Amino acid sequence: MSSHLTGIFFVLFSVCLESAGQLSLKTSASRVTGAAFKETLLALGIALFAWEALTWTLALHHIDVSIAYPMSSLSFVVIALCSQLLLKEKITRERWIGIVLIVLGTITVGIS
Amino acid sequence: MGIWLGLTAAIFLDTVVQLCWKAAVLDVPASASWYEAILLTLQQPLIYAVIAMYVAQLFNWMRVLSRADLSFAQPITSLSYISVCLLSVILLHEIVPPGRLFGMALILAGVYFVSRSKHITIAKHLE
Repeated sequence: MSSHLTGIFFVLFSVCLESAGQLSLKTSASRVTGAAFKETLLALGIALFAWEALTWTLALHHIDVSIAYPMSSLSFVVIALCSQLLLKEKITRERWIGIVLIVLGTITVGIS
Repeated sequence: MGIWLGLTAAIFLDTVVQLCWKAAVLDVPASASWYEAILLTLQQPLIYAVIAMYVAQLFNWMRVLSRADLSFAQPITSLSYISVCLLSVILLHEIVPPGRLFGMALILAGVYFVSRSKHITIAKHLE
């Protein structure tokens, strides 16, 4: 696998890790989560974020930050989708518009 | 509203962490190996402030998440892209390309739209 492709893989993987980490923390923080699970989910969330930091650092070894950074804005979309599907959060059209604008803005910042 | 205090704290901590991190690794040469880079970074006193702030960030974020949707809170934190850029210009003397200003305007617009939505989803039977 070329270095470039490896870098892209690591960026996408770090997006997945960040999403999983946030979902874990959110579930842990949620009032409806049983006490028994709260601590486990918190520890899991922290572990996922630590893993993400390593993966991101690895990614930057293979591709430029001006590519990695805009790609990582995918996490806004992934997290929103997972929040809607898995956490049953209500995302209005307004919120989606906002998220899309943020993604576009992040990509623009990254490539300039 | 308590939620905005928490979000402001999250953005503030995120910004300071990123700037300290940037400043801490400034002295690490690009040619350094992984091992050297980590060792050199750990010798910067600033990195310990970073670690302390990560811990504070965790506590604060958990508090925010207990009161708001993840899909509300997480996009709002993108404001730190703007604050980091602004402070990088002021403190680290970086130059902002014009395209970046446009991108930041888009982020601001996006955050505005997200902030207009209700910050928490209440279960149907509780409404």
